[in-house]
Amino acid sequence: MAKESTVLIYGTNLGGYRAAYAFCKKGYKVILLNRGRYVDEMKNQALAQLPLDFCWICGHMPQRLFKAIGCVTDCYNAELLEVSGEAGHFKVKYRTKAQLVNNFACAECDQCIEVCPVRVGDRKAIFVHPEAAWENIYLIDWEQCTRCGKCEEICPTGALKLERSEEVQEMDVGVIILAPEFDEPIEADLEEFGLGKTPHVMKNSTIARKSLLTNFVRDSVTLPSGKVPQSFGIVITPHFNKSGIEYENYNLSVSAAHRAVKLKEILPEAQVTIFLRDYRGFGKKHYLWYKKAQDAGVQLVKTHKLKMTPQGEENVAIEYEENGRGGTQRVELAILITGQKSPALMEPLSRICGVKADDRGFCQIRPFSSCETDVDGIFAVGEFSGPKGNPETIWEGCAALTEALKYLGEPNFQRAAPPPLKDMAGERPRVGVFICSCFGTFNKRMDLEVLRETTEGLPGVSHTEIIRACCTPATIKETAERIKKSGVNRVVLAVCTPLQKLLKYRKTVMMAGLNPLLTEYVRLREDVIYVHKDRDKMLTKALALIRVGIERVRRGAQASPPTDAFTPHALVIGGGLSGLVAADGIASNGFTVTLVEQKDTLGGHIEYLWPAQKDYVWSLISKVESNSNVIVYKNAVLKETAGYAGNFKATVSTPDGDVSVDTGVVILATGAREYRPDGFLYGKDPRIITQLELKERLPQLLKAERGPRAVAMVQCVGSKDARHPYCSRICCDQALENAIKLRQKNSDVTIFYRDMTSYGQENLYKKAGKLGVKFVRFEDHHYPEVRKSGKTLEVVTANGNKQEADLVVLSTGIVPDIANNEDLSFLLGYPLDADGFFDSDANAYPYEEAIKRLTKPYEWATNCIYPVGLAHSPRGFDACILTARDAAGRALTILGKKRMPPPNAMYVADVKESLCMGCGVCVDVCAYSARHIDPSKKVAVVHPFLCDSCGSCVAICPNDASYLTDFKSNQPIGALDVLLGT
Amino acid sequence: MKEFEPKIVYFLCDWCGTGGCETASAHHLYYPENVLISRVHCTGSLSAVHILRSLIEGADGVVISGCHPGDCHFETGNYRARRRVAVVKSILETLELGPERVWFRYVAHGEGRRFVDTAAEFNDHLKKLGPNPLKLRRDT
Amino acid sequence: MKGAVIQAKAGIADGILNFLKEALDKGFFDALLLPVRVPAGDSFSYILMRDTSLLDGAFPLPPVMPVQGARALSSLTRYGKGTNRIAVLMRPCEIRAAIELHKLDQVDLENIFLLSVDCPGVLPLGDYIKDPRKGDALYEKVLQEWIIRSPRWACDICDKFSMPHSDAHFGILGAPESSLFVIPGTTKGKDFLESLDIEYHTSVKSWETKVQELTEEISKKREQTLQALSRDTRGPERLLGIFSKCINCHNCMRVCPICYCRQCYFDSDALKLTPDNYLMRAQKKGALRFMPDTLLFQLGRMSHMGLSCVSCGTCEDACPMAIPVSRIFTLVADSMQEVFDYVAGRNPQDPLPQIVYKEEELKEVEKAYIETYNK
Repeated sequence: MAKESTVLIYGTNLGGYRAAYAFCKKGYKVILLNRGRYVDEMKNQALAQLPLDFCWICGHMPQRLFKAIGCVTDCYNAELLEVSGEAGHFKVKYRTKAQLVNNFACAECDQCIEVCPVRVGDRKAIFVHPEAAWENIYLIDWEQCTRCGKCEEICPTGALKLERSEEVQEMDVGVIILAPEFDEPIEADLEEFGLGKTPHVMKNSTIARKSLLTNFVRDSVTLPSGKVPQSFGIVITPHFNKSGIEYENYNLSVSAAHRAVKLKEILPEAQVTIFLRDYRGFGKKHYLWYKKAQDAGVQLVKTHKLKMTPQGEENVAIEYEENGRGGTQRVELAILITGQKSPALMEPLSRICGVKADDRGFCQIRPFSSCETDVDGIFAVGEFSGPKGNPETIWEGCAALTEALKYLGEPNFQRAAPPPLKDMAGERPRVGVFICSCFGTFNKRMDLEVLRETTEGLPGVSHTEIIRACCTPATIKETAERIKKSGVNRVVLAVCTPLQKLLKYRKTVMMAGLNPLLTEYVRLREDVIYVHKDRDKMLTKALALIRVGIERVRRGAQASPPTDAFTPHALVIGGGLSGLVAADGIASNGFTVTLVEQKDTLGGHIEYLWPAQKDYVWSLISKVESNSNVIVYKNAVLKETAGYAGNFKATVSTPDGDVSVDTGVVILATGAREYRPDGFLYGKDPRIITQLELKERLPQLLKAERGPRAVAMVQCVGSKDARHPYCSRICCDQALENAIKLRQKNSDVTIFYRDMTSYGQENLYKKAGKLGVKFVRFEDHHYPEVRKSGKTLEVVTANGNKQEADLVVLSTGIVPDIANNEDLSFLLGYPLDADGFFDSDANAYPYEEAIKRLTKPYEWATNCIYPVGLAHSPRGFDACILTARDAAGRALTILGKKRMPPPNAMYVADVKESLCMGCGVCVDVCAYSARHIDPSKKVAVVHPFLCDSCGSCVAICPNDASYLTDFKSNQPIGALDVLLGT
Repeated sequence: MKEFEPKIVYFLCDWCGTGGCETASAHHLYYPENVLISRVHCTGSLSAVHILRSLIEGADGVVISGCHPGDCHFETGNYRARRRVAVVKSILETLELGPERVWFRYVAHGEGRRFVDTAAEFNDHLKKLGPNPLKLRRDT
Repeated sequence: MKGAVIQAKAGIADGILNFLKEALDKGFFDALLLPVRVPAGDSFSYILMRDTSLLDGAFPLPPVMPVQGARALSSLTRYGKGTNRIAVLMRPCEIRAAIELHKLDQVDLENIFLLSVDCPGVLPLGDYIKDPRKGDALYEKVLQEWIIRSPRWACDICDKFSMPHSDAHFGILGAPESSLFVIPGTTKGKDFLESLDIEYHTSVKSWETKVQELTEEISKKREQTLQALSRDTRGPERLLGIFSKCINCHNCMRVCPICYCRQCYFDSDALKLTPDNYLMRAQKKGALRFMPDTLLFQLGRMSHMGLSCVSCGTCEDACPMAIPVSRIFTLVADSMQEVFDYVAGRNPQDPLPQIVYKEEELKEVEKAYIETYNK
């Protein structure tokens, strides 16, 4: 029986969205079950935490695009009821009820609100959701609604229906992806922090949501009394909350530092203190925020105990213990940085589909998988399977594609071909201006007929018309017909939001046979109708904007999207864990891979791994080596590269001579090195060793009657110091595991640490404490000193405390292989980050959590070069595997394409060769490496497939040799003149 | 006498700036009619010449809004725009042509209030400054 | 700083030319690019030569600068370095422009040996061509006394008249009687002196002191002059008054060493406007002067090249209407470059400010928003 091809995604966390995107891109139909009434009613991780006060998720999420082309079916008010069958042949049953106002079909004309007779406070019974910033989401207050039906009657698009029946659907699907959203701690969970008892305690996410329309400003923290607080305490609650209530996501420390710095920006005089147990930011640039907060004058209090007591109407007292001494701070506003609860959906879902929970109540993932649950063919992504950072959440979406393709049948979705476009080259411009009346509603606010008449007399305009709309299937068709009939060859549509409806407008003009480059969309609604009051002035402004449109289309020129072949092959550099996982992910899904390894064996630094992990790597090696899709070159290095994303030509030097490899994508899995300590008397005494050396010696030590008497461990050796301003992620866990083993042999173990970043291994930290491992904190750069007095080894802290030790273990970090990375960076034209690792989509400013770059649905974002594993940044075993599977997934979405589509179709940059001087400034400013200088002609050349059409090259080019197809040099000046001349 | 109504060109990037402006519209937030919107792909694609042209050909002031630092849809465009605005301001300042008539303020996608506040604040600011002398000169 | 001392018995020019002749003879260079008097005798131009006999007509420090040397060098090496090693002798402002053009890939310095020389300034081109003989005589004195009698504004306040980032520099100031200093500025320069067997470890303290004194003096003067100039130019009224003479010939752009574009933006499609456009603007402004768009050209050109402007004054020499272009550009370029702590031509390693950025900078450019407006 053929396998099913449809994918069911339950929940709308970012991982689920990313998975939907990846599967659609690959050609699979997706059913997206949203439990909420509208997009993002169920808050996903990023929205629930909102560490940033600005958010672009809606703009980057795929549902709109893929829904428009018919690839995604999204169901609202949905609930998964039953799952039966097995991987590749699931039968699912779900309940769904359509939105009362279909958000996708709604033209947002507001007539329903106007006719609604029920007033509720300052709104009507039908109203626009006040908290969703951008989209107009119409909600009906079901309690107050009288069901009079006036709104339904007047709705011109049929988007509004008061009677929506619940439907139960049964579907055959190939795989199921569980992506339930974030469970935020509620007031009761944060009781001990005084939340809800006093206005002086607020959640960070509440502040962020309060600032939705403004970003973080003084008003965001103003107390109900109207007073702007002058003292702030920022508390990371999972560090102090009772166990089992909430779990820490690894960006909480950074969120705290970020909030503190922002506070200092808007209130420079305010006193800001962060209360936390350990600073646990270990993503890219996370540690820099620690320093930034310190530089901004933020006080950091690291404490194990914290008590908050509201002090009447005045403030909140925060009691803490620091270095064994108690202290109290009174703050006018305490900001809680909260964690995540284990998912409430875990229990019903394990009942429905058999997935199991881990010991914290999150969905359990099978060993060595990135997102597959214990049930074959059922995957869990994002915050459902544990607290994590936003990058991981999103990576899991693509990793799911890598892991799930084997269960799916052939792709079952083909995008319809675009309508044929007429050739208008050389024709004299005949501009048609089509003014949208939004089903007659605009007329009430502005005299459209007068606008039309004024427009009619403008130079170049040969046709003007008022249309009903062009955003619903019927009106799109209708308008396209009218355009065709009018015989114009340039079109200005005076409509509404192109940000949301761009595809609909392009569809309209393309259905009329027009090249979209010969059309302009003027925002009559956003720029005039909804935001202004004075009718005369509105008319003048509308005219000015339409004239700009006319001016621009008159000077526009048609162009068709370039296409290029795409080499369906992947080159993986580095045969360690990450390289093997990536190669396996791509090869086992049917594409050929060349794997290049510098050494004579695959597997990389296998000596660092635990036995089960080693076994996994061995099995992976034999799997990869026996796969006929993979060619492995050992003792080989990348020697040269030419070409560009999608069509690289690499030369690999192997012991048998140079081999040329044509490849579409390159995966950088070159790994990193262990830091070799200088100082701490390392190498001067055999009793001073690294954690790795201890690990090797451990079986022997544990076999002995008793372990060493006293063991001292020093954390952060080669991490978070001046030369390596980042956390190496793995050393704390490693130290804790070794410490526990030694302690169980009765050794006295002391860990000298700065912050225990044992994120995700909280239980280890607790266990070590319970067993009596001593923890001694050192401040920032005051590392303890290792001394030798006679035969005794001593560890001396900055304040002079001495501790004798038989064994000193240095927890050394991970450092990039700078020389190698720099070589590859040069060969591939791919940048390194400030620490010497490869730059990546997760290395965004202000920090790794900045989701905009991460969520950008754009496989070319890294020019088809994907750094994975330790080449990307320091990370542990599972995290390495995840990055590799994400890269494989992203590669898989495009490897199948025969022709390479430019991401922005015909909207690309180009160069007028006759004007170009080859100065190269455009090459320098291009953020996409989409340009180079042709050495023979000495002119700039654009790779349209990499170009994201931003126009940086246009602005930097002093003589406008550079242009965008829709931003030509002859357009802006004339357009500005008419804008100001009207 | 009729109150002076400044003519303002508000350059918005296609992403955050436009988004902020559309959020303002979604919430029906009002701003003065004399603020004219000009959209560009990215603030990084806005050339200094366009700002200068606006000031010479009729604008009393120019505002530029794009994504917040680090949040540029095109990664680095807003940083480059900031440098370019610094260049324009430096020219205007040295020649006393009204550097205070050019504002640069980040407006993100959901920040409709911030957008209309900027428009209103700039409008009031220009009312105090009075008409831009350059725009009335025929010998430019 | 250390350098070599070479003989200049028959004057500075002779010393420099003899030195170059020797280097050419010994095969260190394959050719020279030097200012030579034109056959008619009334001007100078850069000549690319392999034949040492031509050196006799060469002027290391000609009295005028009709063509900015960087432009000449750019014509020579814009399309690559070639296989020959060429020595170029230029004034410091020309070297600085060449370095800017190098950053813009319009000059390839790889096989070029940049030689610079202390510069007393040049005479205004317009004055000189009216009576070249008088000019020559005047310049003789300038070279001796190191003071410009017929001041060319740009030179009068040039405080970067000495050693730029060249491979080797001829130090005239403070040199012992009848001799010159040759000071290597790069490893290339040192290799050069070594291959000529010239010892270059003599102290050049006397040169350094003189240069420093003069630099300080001129810097002060520059500051004062610019301040006074600023008073006379700022504001639309004064500025437009100055530019009202402009005939839009764009000569200033054509001679500018930094304006490397084949076609200027302001001559391009960008300003291909219709009569309707002009009429619309004329209606708005009451009237419109033709040729139009002068101010846009001037300010726009500043925004394009101001960060690389070396204040050489060539634009002013070329203006047929005697508009003080160079002064206004210098005034603006100085403050523009200061914003980015950049000095055009200072160092080939300094990246062009327009192609780089810092995540945290220019806070003063942003209009902060810390409170809602009109609550």
